[in-house]
Order: sequence, then structure tokens, then C-alpha cells
Amino acid sequence: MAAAASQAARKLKVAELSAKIFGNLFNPTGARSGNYVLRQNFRGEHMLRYYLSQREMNLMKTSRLSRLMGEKLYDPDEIDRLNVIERRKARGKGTPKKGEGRRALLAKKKR
Amino acid sequence: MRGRILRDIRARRAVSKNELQRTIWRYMSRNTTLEPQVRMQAQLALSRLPREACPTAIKNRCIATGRGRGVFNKWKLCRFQFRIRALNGELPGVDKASW
Repeated sequence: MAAAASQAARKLKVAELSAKIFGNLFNPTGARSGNYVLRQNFRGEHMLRYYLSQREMNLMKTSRLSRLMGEKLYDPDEIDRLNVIERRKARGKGTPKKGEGRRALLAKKKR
Repeated sequence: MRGRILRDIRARRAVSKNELQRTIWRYMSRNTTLEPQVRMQAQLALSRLPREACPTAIKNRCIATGRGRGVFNKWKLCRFQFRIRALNGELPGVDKASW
């Protein structure tokens, strides 16, 4: 019994010495040091870059891009928009001219 | 839609700002060689941080619509927007399967 105990102690001592020689950590009880927290990478900067900025979002729109390039590109969304405006105007639902809007007419009545 | 994205951006800023502090407190609370009282205080400090500052509060949302579910991380788009754009040929390398 005593021989086994002394052998275990010897083994422990050998392990400690070998850890010292080879620069390893000697931690026989397996106590948690929390070092894995320090080993993790910082992710905050990467997380911030997920969404596009307003400027980048604008670049994705063809209308903004063509204004930047100085020439007109094929833009189906813009063509759709112009078509809708044309149809509304044909029905008399277009935007009023300056001074013919609802508020402008109200102001004229008051006088 | 956009509001959800703004909320998520705010959370991301909070995470980025508090990251170092969180790491320190996390290390202290997990380190069993420290005094129990110190570890307890670190844990309390962690829980006192705003809820947003926790990285798990962050969700990758669709950058076009703000949808939180069914988002392809590679394209940052939800499944509907992904389908629309893929069929339009706006996503390089994406083809409709046919066999």
C-alpha cells in the first residue's frame, strides 16, 4: 500500500519535472483557468460589418450608379416608375403644378 | 422591416463596444484559481451589462427586407429575395436546378 502511494507521488514529481523542462503547464487536479476565454477571437468588428452602409446600398440601385457613371444604364425599376406616372397622368391623377395644390388653393380662399 | 435591422445594428455596436470588458469578466468568472468572491462579482458584473451587449442577441437578418428567418448567410438574403434575384440572374454562379 505504502509502496503504491510512494510510486504515485513519484509519478507526480516526474510529471512536474517534465512539465518544467518542456515548458508545459502542470495542473494535476485539472483546475479550470478560464484561458479558453482569452484564446477566443474578437468578433465585434466582424459583426459590425454585416449590414451594408447607406452609401453601399445606394450603389446597388441602378439609378444612383448611372448618375455616378454619368451615363444612363438600363434600369427596369425606373422604366416601371415612369410608366406608372404616365398612367396616373392620363387619369388626371398626376402631381399638381406649383400653386395648384390643395393647400395652395385653401390659402387663396382665405384671402 | 428596416426598424428591426436598425435594432440589430444597435446591438452589434453594443457588442463591439463591450467586447473587451465582457472578455475580462468572463475570464475572471471562469477562472477557478481566483477567489470565489471575486468570481461572484465578475459574474454579477456580466449580468449587469445591457442585454444587447451579449453576442447571442445578434441575428443575421436579410439586408433587403429585414426578415429574421430563412436567411442565406452567404448571400445575406432571405429565401424570397434570394429566389427573385437568382431568377433575375443577379447572383453570380446561382442557377435554377434542372435535370
